[in-house]
Amino acid sequence: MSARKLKIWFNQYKDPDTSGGEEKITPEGYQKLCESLGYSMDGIEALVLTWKLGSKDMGTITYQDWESGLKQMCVSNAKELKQNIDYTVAGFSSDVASYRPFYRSVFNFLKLESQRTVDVEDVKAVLPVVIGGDSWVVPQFIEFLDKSGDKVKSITRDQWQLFPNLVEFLRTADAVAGYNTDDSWPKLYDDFVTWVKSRS
Amino acid sequence: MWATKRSAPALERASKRLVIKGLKTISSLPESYKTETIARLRSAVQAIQQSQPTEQSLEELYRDCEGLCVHNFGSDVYSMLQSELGQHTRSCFSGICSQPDTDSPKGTVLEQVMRFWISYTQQLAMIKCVFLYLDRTYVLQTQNIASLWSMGTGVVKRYLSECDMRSRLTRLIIAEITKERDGKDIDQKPLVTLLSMFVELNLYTQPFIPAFIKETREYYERESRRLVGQLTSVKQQNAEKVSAENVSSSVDAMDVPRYLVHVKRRLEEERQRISDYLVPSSKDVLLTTTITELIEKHAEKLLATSLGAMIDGSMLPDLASLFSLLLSANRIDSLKRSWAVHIKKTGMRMVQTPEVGVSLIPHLLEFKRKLDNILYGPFQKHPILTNTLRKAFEEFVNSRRNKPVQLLAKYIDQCMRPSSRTALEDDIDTLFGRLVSLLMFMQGKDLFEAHYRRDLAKRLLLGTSSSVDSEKLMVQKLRAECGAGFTSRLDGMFRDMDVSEDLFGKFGASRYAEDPKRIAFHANVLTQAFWPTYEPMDLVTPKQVEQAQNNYVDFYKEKHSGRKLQWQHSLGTCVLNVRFDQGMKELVLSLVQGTVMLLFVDNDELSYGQIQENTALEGAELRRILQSLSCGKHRVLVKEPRSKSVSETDKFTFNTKFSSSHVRIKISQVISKEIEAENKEVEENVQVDRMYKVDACLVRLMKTHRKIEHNELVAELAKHMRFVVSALEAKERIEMLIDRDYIKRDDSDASVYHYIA
Repeated sequence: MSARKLKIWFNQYKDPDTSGGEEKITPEGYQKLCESLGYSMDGIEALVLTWKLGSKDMGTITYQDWESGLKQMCVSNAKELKQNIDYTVAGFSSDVASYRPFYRSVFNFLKLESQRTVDVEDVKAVLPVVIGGDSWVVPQFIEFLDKSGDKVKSITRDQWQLFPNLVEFLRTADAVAGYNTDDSWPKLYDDFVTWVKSRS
Repeated sequence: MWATKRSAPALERASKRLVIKGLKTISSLPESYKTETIARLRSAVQAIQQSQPTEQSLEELYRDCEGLCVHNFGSDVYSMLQSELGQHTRSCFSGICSQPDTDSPKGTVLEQVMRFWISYTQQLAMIKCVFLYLDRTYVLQTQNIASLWSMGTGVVKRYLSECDMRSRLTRLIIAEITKERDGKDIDQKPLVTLLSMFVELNLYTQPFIPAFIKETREYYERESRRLVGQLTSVKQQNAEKVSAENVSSSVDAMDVPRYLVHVKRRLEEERQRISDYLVPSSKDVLLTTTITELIEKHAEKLLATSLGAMIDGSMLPDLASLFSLLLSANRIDSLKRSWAVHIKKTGMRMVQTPEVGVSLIPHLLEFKRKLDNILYGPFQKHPILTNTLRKAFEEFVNSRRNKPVQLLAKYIDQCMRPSSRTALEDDIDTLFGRLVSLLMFMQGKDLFEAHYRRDLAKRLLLGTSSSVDSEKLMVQKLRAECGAGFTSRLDGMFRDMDVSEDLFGKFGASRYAEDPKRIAFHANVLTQAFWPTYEPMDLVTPKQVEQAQNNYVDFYKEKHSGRKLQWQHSLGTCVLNVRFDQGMKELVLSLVQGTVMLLFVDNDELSYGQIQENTALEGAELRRILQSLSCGKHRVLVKEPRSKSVSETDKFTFNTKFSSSHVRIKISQVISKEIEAENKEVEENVQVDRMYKVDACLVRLMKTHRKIEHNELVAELAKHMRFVVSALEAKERIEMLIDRDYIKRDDSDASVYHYIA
């Protein structure tokens, strides 16, 4: 696709206020872009798209990101873009290796540049979106975080990154009983499983 | 026949017929020789057997025998003897066999057999003498023929088994022994004889011994079942020593010490039995059987009913009996288990008391002493039990974190003060030795060092220690057990005090001390690395104090120009001469208290805020000081309003009306809550130190291993740390190191860590 067409496409959604210097798509424009592809802002596709375009902040896309990202995806129009994103999302459930980089990068989206950890509220909001399947773990974990109140204010990168492992581990019903607090799981997970055990 | 050279030629020349002159013909035996001689011998044998004198002399009979042997009639003689002996035996026994077991005028069966055997053997000996030639020639030369003695005894043996006397005699002998065990008197003579007969006849090992041992086993099994089943709990006997005489097994229920006395008596009886009428080779099996039934099978029950009480009561002789019997019965393992259980149970109870106080320490010392007495005395320093004691003691002492070391430090602190009259029975050297041994059982020695240092600092700076020698003695013992590294800071503190003294002398003589308005002043210089950390405190010191302090600092800087000094106001003390209405008093105060008091030289009344402004003291600290001066036992300030605690709106007046029967009054500024808070602080500091050590160690391990699995890392960590690190603590530190990018998890296995260089 020609650079001109890419630019035209880009301009449909870019932020009209270019006083900041570089041209970029901001969250409002991004929402329109997603809607044009049939994606809701609550869905995983919105995240995948911004990730694939290589943006540093969720929903903010510089023209450079736009151009290089679309080129890398080998995509030249909205239809192809949608196909690519849908295909990627479908691939997540079967291919862990493709899912993991995406999942890990979500942490970067959630956190502020100056901080090392992510606010627990953001994690609670995003987890159901990025963890697919209907595992019982996600809603229970969110409830646990709710109940923990002030004791858990933020989530570390390590705690975020291991979460899919935990979901996988707890897939079977008796895995809860087999969970050993002496293993290398983060302490937060130990507290979670202990809490789950005390409820049953 | 010698053929000499001289006669040879004569013979050759003569060639005559050789005639032997005077040749006698060999007389041939008369036909009846054999039968007559044998008949003679037969009647002689019978006479012997009837205890009658023989017709011929023994020598003639001997020659008769010899003659027969020479003429090759040995076998006939032998057969004759065999049949005579056999007949005699049979006729003797015919009466005995038919007799029932009960007594008869001729005596019991055993007695009769005894008499038979005694005379039989005597007779057989005589016969053997008479027929010695036969024994030495025919018997030896003929195969498959027993010697006369063996043949003679063999006859009896065969007979005994034929008419079933073997088992009957066995049964009767054993019955007698049982009677004796029951305490009745028996005649031992038959037993002696019959058992030696059994030995002679090879009947001892079979069938006697198995039957005897079986009976022994059953007997003692019954007895022990009865006695052990009725065991009562241990009765403490203080005055009366339990001896064999006042224990009888027929008495109703006994306790374990008495049971042990009874068992020892039984063993002694059996030993006696061996020497009286049994064979020494049976000793081992007999004693083993006895002790198995009486002790070994009941070891658990005996220990369960008695060990605890015997230990508590320090019943050393009974414990010694118990030990030696269990050792013989090979049940030291049971003793070991009960020993451990009791120690742990008693110890846990002492240590786990929720509000345990410093009295725990003397209790522990006493407990250890009691156990040591038992171990070295009755238990003969047995290695397994020694080891068990150590492990059990260690286990219960450490069943509670932090408290034991804290209490130990506190107890030592009390010992060092002159007001304490603790533990005067031991000399101080032994006491300190015991205390340090106690420390060696405890985990968390670094926490002990922190507490000890804090207490030592107070003692040194406030001069409350009763003797420097005692202090040095304790440190010396700690150094010996824990190493010089452990006591290095303590040593530094002592050195600082000595140096300070020396310096102060020099200061006094120097020009810096020449200020005419100077107050009586003393300073110590503490090397920060050695002493506990103290919160820095702002304080506006009174003018005179400030002057003196500055003089000293100038003096010091002259000697050591590169060093930085910082006054620790919280450690300072002072004495104020104060005039009250009642008269002059000396108030012994902390520097901070004194500073506050001195404000009232120029002001009769001050508000909280004013005091705060003038002293630069903060919140909680200021409230505490004012509380000690106005709400405690000695109220040198009057607080308005007169509530129990200080608030920021209070006003304070100098209490001219203060009175006391003493002239010199110490006003303490520490309340018990402070002490608890201080202890917590010490623990927290040590905990922080520990976590630094753990982090450093983890990083080192990661650097070495590069890649390591979680459990292995935790195990390695435990090996390198001198204190206990829980799995949870280790995990938290690892998580922290992950967060700080020292280590990262493996992509495929989340329980494996990689070092990030």
